[in-house]
Amino acid sequence: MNERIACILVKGTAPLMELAEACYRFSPQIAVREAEPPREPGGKSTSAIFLEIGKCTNLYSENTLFLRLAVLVQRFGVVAQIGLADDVPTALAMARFGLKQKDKLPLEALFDYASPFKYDDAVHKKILGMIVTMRMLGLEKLDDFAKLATRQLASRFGSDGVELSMRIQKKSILAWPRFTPAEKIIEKVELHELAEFQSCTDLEPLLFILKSAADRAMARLRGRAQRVSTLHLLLDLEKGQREWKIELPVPQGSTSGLLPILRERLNHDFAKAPLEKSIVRVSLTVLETVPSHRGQRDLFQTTGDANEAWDALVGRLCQRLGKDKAFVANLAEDYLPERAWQRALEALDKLPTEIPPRPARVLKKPVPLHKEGIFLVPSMKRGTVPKKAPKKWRIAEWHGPERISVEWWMDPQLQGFNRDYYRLVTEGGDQLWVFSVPARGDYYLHGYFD
Amino acid sequence: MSLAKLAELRTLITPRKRESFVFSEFQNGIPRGAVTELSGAHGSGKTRMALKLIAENPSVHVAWVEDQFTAYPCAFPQQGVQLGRVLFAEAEDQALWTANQMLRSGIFGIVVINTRPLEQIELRRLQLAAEQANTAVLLLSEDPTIEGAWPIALQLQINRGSPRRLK
Repeated sequence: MNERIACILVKGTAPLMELAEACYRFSPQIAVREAEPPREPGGKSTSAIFLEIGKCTNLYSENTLFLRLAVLVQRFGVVAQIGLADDVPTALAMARFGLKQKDKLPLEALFDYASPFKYDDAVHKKILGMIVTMRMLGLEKLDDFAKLATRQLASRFGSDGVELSMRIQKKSILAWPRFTPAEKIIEKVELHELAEFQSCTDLEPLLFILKSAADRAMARLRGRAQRVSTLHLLLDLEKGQREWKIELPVPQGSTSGLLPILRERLNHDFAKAPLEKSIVRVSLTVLETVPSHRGQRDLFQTTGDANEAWDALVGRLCQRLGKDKAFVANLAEDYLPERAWQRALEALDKLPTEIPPRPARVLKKPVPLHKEGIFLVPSMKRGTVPKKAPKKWRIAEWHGPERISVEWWMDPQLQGFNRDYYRLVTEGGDQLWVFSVPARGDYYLHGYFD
Repeated sequence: MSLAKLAELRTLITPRKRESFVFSEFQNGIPRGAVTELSGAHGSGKTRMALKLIAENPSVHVAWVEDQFTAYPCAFPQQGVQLGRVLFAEAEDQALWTANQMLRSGIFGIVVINTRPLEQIELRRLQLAAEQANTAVLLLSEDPTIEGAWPIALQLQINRGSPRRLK
């Protein structure tokens, strides 16, 4: 398959490595060109990130990628231009000169062809000399240079000229330098750099600052196809520090999921101990991660977003209600009704085993029953005053029993567990799930076929 | 007034037809973007009715909120409900906040709530949230809401009637 390159040309200082890491989401083949000095006096230094996207045509269109990269660049607060071409130097030159056609590139594009992955001062000077000579010969565009015969090139510009011509004609293959992202994800925000937040002691402005840091951290995590499960938040104050180690109830892969949890936690802590001094610096460190739901396959499909929304919701609920209070239910292979299902964060889609019909509601504690004439009545503890008149059921039909017993070798703690379950139909048509303990002859209400 | 303007006016004043979930037990279906109440005594079959609705709409994600968790998930697959698409929450005294979060997430087509009797203002809030999310909210209760029930679009009382043979 043909090579296709996207180049992000970054102007001015920028968190280049972090941005490159976030680009892993779009392609596994990434290269970074470190900052070079400004080409014109008073200009800005430039650096670049290259993405090989030729093998990702089934995942996204170039148009979509262009828009996604524009959003990503904005998230990192970077001024950049994006170029797309069939090779690295052309993509770089196109991004630099803001052009879409290769034949319109000026001679100055030769700097990028000579050393696309790294700025080299010696090479730069050599190319500068070559461009002066070419201008004297009446050449204006890169295309004019490319049309020169190889024999002429060799006699005038030596082997460098031949190599440049080959690169323009894509006859020379460039080796990609390896890009290795930083081991730890740390995002810092210095408040003195933000004009609008010279002083910050409240939660709302802090969350605003945290959002930008979390946005970048999450973009980097997505690049690694991971979600955060534990993070460390450090606030450097004018005097002293405050720090939190936050273990998320559910790993999060998006800022929209993470921020409400941070808000809940900080709101709770600030209510007890407010910040006494203004914040100087905010550092967000990702300590532990888990793999994200899906990798690159669903890059631009909505299932990934739905999973993130689900995680964000469950995380928020667990933070507020308590661990295990928001859950999916997985069936367990256990005869005991109380242990026949488990709370979990992810569904196993396990097929149910064949068991007799189960009630839709099961009481946390079985309620003892006793007979009052022809009625079955829940037994109250001595001294309890009922809020409502106690229920009385006149039973019309008994179905069962279904014997559930546990032998000592299955679970020693439940030795002697023997229950006969009945489905009772009352005269009014309501259906109850009642068990008796054969050894004692007592009856207990355990649930309703509600 | 021109004919075009009259037609425009007519479309504006004609009540909008609410989308609804297919439900074999109730011909008109269960309305989306509205609150429906299923009431009945313990064991009357209201939970089973909710499960039947969920089973008949298999592409919908469901949120299930209870203050004290007594729902028994083992019964769900027996009623044709795939457990993987149901998110449960045991909310204690925060059932309304939880339901609101679930509605706002936009993930769920049906939200089932089993909690204490709700006040009029709480019902109104729930109705607005349901409308905004275009979600069907099912309230399970023992007794039907009588006073201040206007935010509830549909009230169904569940009663199995006289006993019938199970087999």
